[in-house]
Amino acid sequence: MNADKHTPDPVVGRYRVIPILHEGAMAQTHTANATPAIQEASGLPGKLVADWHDRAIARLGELLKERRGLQVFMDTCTKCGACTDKCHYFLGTADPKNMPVARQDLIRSVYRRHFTLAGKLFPKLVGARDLDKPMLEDWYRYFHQCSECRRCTVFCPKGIDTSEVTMAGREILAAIGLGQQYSQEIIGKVNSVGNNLGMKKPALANVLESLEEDILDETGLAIRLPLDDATADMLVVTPSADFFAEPHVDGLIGMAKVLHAAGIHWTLSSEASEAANFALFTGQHDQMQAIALRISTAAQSLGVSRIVMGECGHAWRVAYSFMDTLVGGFDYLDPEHPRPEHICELSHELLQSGLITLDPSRNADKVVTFHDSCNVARGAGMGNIKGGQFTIPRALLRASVPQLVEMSSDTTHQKTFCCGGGGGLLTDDLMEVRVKGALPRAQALQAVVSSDKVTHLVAICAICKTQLSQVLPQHDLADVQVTSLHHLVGDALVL
Amino acid sequence: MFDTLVGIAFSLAWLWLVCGIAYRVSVWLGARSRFLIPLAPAPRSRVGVLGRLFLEVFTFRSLARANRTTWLASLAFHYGLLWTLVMHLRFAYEVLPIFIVPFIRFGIWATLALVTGLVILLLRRLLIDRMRYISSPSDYLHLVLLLCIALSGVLIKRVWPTNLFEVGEFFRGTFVLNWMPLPDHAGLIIHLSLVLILLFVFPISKLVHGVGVVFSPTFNQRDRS
Amino acid sequence: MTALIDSLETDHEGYLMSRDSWSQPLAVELAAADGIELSEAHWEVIHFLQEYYENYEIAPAIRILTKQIGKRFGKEKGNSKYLYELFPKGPAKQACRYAGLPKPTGCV
Ligand code: SF4
Ligand code: SF4
Repeated sequence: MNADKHTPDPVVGRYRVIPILHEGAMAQTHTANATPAIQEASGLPGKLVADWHDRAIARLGELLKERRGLQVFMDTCTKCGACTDKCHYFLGTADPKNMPVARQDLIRSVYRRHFTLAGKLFPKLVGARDLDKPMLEDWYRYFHQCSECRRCTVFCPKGIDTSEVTMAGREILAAIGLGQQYSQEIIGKVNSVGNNLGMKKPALANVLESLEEDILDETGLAIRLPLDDATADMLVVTPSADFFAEPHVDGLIGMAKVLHAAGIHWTLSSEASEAANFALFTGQHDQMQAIALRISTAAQSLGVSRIVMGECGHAWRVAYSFMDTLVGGFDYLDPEHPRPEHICELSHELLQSGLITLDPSRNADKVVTFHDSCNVARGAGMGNIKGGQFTIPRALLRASVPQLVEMSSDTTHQKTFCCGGGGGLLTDDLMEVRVKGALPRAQALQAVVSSDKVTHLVAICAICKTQLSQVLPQHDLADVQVTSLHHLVGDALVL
Repeated sequence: MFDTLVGIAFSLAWLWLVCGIAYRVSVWLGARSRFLIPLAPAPRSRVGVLGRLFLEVFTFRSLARANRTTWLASLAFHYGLLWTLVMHLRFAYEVLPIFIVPFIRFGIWATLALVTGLVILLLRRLLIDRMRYISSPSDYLHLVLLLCIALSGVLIKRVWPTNLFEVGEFFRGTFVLNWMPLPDHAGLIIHLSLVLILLFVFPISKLVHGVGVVFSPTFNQRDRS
Repeated sequence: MTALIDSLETDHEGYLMSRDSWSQPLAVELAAADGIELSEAHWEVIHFLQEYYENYEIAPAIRILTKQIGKRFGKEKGNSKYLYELFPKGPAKQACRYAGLPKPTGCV
């Protein structure tokens, strides 16, 4: 793989250096196409169909009618350029097609050619283009260099959401036979097994049992990680990475400790053993619905009255903003908790009501900074207060560690930079994009490492955790520990 | 004869403008809006949403976050334009209404803001590599067109005056299909022809963004949890 | 020395398409291609991975791998540092590839 060759030199402590355009810088990037078997399992054509052009245009026409945002965004961009220097992939790669507006233009130019008067009459004048083979290749390439993080939207005076365009682009691509292996395979696994990993119930039970053993060794307490417990009141749905990867697992353990300390009767589900919903990334609404349905079905069959989502960025966006639309109605839930809640929201509530006690001195050796995950920051609220997605995790952290350092305000809260691996890009065949896309986050982190000796970067998203622990070493930040928020909460918890 | 043609053209232009915008809006509203995609943190109340839209439409809040120069230039241009449009309302009345007088009185400043804003926006588009990359010929031409309209307007007003009363008669006529003669003035004809082009282009180009902003779901949806 | 690799069907990241095409000499070749000579210590890990996969149809989580290796082969081996020394590109990825296991997918 050529990722090693192209690793950018770490740039230390300087933000927002706007690169000079380097056309075609990322034109060699390619993430593997979904195999015919994977495509067909989702009811999609196995390979590029012969009449791909007409089908793509027809599908675009349908999407314009189905997604108001897309239609409005196609019409209202004035090419004002405000977004051009806001995308981490542009800042990291200098490829002009990674400027948000240029990414949108991949579809907009085709839209103008086929759906607007001006573009039909004077294509050259208004930048209208045909969907030819090179254009199709650009679609595949550059819609897989967007993490759908919506940072560009924060700065767009028309409120244009590039992620909606990327999602539409990927949806069309998959529909004509060009799905992405990484995302489509994962969607297939959730449908067939129940989670992204493809971890079946016996394996899951084995992991949970082993973790219970570890917790017992560590704390001397029989803290449980219950699976499919039909007597439970609360269903916890967490990304399956929490059952498998480091540093995720420690977050799951922390969650178990909190729930134990609060005396909550909770359970995980083997049917809904995945919080993530990759169909958001691929823009496939039918699949997104099927995946979300697993959660509500599990909740109803287990008879729980509360649903709590673990540390996953886009899962929270789907749960908070889309679940109601997708699988409608939560009348089976406790009226006090009538929608899915975030684990941070829950822990914070427990902390405030005194049901759990946190002792920051137990994390005395750590200097911590918080990475706002894009889908939480810009995709959803938390805790019924505006901006709760920023204040609640921070309040939990402040109660758990002696020192919380903020990174530059250009890179946090609503303006947070994506970790570089979101939106279905967390695959090894996009490693170059991922390393370069992490540049702005790495620069901001580097600055607080130099100034405040930060030791831990805390995240509340499985993708952020995996991505950052893999790419930070490439930015000379191998010493910073990427950590789950609930790992620190669990360690500070007075049991 | 020629004057009548111009008059008919304007009558059609008004119709085109209204129908064009109405059609565009109907396309937007006709598209299904299924998911909640407000840009978080989003207002939780309808009033909050109105506040957000107000700030976006009247202060270009997001642009202010992005880039100060563009923001200032855009403000200068758009408010200069708004001021100038109010000035032009004079042609709708036979007797000059009092509220328009101050607009006319300080019109020169508005024109200056408008032109300066446009020039900065044009220079940006020409000089910055990122801007050149994303610009099509029409993006430059929109600016040039507006600039030419502004300059020809200044010419008529300050350097080479014409009979404003007759212009008023002419315009009032275009709304009621009573086409009146225009003053015989080449500068005026240039100004009006350019305006005709603008009116024609408006509903079928990016210029509809002025109407479109409020239809952006990221702005106009509320946090409905 | 690469005869087996050349005729191999792998996915785009070099993982075997089918576990049936795995063989001991193939593992040796795959490792050799990365400049690693498989020792007894490597085989302990590879065999454990295969056994776990037989039971659970998925590779073990790192945490379980270290714990079980420690239990079976001695405490000094039950840590990720040891495993990284054996498989510098990460035990999960590299060892799984030599063992003929498919790569786990997802946010990992
Ligand atoms: S900021 Fe918005 S309107 Fe301006 S160029 Fe970017 S997408 Fe277009
Ligand atoms: S959504 Fe994020 S990744 Fe995509 S273009 Fe905008 S800033 Fe870049």
